[in-house]
Amino acid sequence: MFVKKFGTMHQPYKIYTYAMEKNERLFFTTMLELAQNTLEVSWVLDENAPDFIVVDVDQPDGKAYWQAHQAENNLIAVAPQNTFNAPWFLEKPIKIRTLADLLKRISIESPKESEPGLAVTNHDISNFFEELASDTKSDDVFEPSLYLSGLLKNAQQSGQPQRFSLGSLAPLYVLPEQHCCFYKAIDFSNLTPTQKVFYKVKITQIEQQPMTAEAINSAVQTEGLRKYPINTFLWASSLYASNGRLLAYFSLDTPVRLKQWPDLSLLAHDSTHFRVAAFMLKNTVKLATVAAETQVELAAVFNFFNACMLTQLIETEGTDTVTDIRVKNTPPSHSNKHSLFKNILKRLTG
Amino acid sequence: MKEIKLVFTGSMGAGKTTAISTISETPVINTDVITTDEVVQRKETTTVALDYGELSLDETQKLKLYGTPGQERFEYMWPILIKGALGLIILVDHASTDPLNDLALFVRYFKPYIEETATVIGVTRTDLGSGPSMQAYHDYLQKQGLQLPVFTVDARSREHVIIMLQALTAMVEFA
Repeated sequence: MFVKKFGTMHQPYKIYTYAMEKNERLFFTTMLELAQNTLEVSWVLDENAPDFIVVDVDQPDGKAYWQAHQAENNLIAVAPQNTFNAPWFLEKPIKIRTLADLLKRISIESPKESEPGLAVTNHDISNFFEELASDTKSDDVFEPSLYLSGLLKNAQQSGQPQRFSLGSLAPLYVLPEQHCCFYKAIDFSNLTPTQKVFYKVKITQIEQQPMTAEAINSAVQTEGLRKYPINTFLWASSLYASNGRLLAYFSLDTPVRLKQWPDLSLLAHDSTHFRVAAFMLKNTVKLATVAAETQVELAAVFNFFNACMLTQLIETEGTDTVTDIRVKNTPPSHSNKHSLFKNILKRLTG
Repeated sequence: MKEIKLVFTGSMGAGKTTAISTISETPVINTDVITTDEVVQRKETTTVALDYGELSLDETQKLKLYGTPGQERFEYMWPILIKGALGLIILVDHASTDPLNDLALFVRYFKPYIEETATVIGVTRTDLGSGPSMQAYHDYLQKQGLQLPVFTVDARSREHVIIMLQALTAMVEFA
């Protein structure tokens, strides 16, 4: 697996502290040792030639050091709050998970030079990102607040413009008051595995940065970003982070109906979504029935349903309104038309 | 050879001719003429009778692609073209002065056909102008008792035309 290879093909990262009080430094050392257990890349303390320096900017010496050296891009600010808008920041008091996440992110964004003959390929990077997102498989239900979908919902509620980023992937800018996001040109119908990871990882992996609307507009101009409805990203995150799991707190026994077609020309989708949408628009049924009648896997139905639910396209109904599927018979003319349409699609998609 | 028909209709300048040309295997035959009336500022030429393209499905089946003239004064052509159609694609120019009214015109006219023919709405040129929200199109359709797919489309995109056809296919399966 790539992650293990990633650790062995690189020299250990060297890290040290600056302006930390003795007890704080001891605490950091302990935290680093504990965090090390969750990392695949080695991090060692090295006072003489550190690759990264953890600077306590809460201390006068640390603040002065930060101001003098921040352009060198190898500083990690540590403080109760990120008042310097440091790209690499560690919140006090230091927590193992926070430290581990930061070190993992640094190892992605600033990989050390590979040993000769072991260049990292795009495929390797893709696998690495997949690994990063793989912990979604361990939970039984989909809890949207743990993913980008939760961050977007929070942004919508707070109205705070924000920048979300993950490793070397393009950042996402959100302007909630204008109900829009800004992102590089992206084709949601052809996302690469690496691009999908942004929508799958938990929020602990995603860097959040509050911004002003003016700063976002400036980034849009300089980076040549495109405007998207927030729902396009909310949808993508719900669809991919669901990973075959049903939305938390939703009962499988609840009959549901689709209120309207999702705009699948804008939204991430696959060919099964058309069938599921057409069926759910016409019938008020339980999700197991949707899967059975459309012959789409239940896990895929859950993914589609969760995305529809998060973008408010679902109506839940009482059991007395459930459509009786048994009384429906497809007229021969419909079967004939369906067959013709399938031929057309086959011809067009090769 | 058995012939099957798909009809593209909608407001002038919405991209019917362009959409047909993305999937037609033959050059689209059309009867565009220089615009001479009040719409001259929106489009240099307009279709006065029909667009026509085709796609062979196999040795025995051919899909005929028809585009209706967009201007209301040519509506006498519409029933001729829609008769016996397998599906209907209504394109709406989002950048026109009143795109919801444009949609209403075509929905009103084609409603008897929509009830028996799979129909999808494609909203084009959404990147231009500040038209209504996409939800406004859904809301209008729901008021008419219709639950049709409404997609944001680029008429130049073959992929978007295929998405509309995928929706029509699914609608027919679960009608």
